[in-house]
Amino acid sequence: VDQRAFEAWYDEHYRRVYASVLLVSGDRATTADAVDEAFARAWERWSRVQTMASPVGWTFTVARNELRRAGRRRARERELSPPAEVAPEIDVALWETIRSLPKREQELIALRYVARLTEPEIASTLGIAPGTVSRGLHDARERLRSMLAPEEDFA
Amino acid sequence: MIDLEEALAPLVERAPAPPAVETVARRGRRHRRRRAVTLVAALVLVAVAAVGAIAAVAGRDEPRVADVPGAVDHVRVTLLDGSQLDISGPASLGLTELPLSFNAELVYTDDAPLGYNPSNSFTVVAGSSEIAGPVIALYMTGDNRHPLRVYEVEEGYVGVVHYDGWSLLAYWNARTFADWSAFANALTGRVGTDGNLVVTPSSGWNLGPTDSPDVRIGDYAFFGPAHDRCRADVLTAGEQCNGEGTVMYRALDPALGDTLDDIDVAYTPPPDG
Repeated sequence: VDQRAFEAWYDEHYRRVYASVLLVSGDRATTADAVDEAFARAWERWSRVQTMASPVGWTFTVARNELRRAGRRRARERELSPPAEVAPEIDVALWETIRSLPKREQELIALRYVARLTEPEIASTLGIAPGTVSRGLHDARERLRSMLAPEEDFA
Repeated sequence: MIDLEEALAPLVERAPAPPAVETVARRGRRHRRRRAVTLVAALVLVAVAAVGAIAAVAGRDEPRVADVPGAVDHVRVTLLDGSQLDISGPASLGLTELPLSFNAELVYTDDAPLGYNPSNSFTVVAGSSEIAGPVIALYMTGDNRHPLRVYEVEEGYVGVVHYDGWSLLAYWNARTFADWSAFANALTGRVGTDGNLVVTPSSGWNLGPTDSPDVRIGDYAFFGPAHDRCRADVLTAGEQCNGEGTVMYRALDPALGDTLDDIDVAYTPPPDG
């Protein structure tokens, strides 16, 4: 592992990946675990991950899959999911409205506006066409606008 | 105008500091050791199988049959348009045991009075999918035998058609009676003698691909020729194409990305295509 390159990338992107996954999961404890696991896998495969179109997108996807696996595990063990924790860092109405969007739109918002990936990088991360990313982001912004402030535009 | 980047920036600013990189490296090393152990276990299994095969050959004069596990799994999947994928991979991937699902879309192609072409994507899964929630509408599908039941669920509305051994599911965000009825009319499904469900669109409609994979086997996604995803300008890292350049496949779980090299796919067009 090129330790120095990994460390620089890790320090630069950890918070952004954590925040994107938190926006999708709504739960801090499971987010921290999933994100740490994803970065461990990125370390393990760093020579390959660092050549990818979007290492951040890859790490986000691994963390998201970890969350799903954890969710399935909890369901199997008949545990109740912990209640989604409100993130006090941002406007509560905005947080709750984003959390009420369909999962795919939450992911698009998280990857575009929190992880700050480009639309082609998001398309590659989610395995969908770039046009679908544009349309999905447009729909998500429209929905946010109509729910939060009908007279406002979202950029 | 609300700037979403700015509004969401505090989420990043106040995220916890990254744990020490050594913690991540330790966890990564543990993964690496686990993978090495798995690889050794797989090699031991192959060696056991090989010894079994040699023993079977050596003892073939004796009246017994050695049951040697095959090293390669082969799955033939019939897509909803009748085309087929022959997928093979090492038995360790468990391709024959992973859940199967299909995705497609019915698109109205005639001149649409509303000024747009309605379309409905849907998913087909093996078995009978039961939805919890009240049935709020029911329509007979185009074959006049299988009803489309529409349920109200937390995320919106889901329509389900049950066929012998298969369930077809379509999702809507809004309460759109006209769309449900049109979709039901457009849909004709039939389970062939081979047990496969083949969907035929009614006149004026086309069956086409969605943005989702044509077929999913566990965490592996396969996109057939209609997606045209094997061109160099659209193929991205983590995606692979078969030798004929007709089928693109990728692992939805990035941790499985390394296993794509071990998978082979052959495509056979639909009988009438």
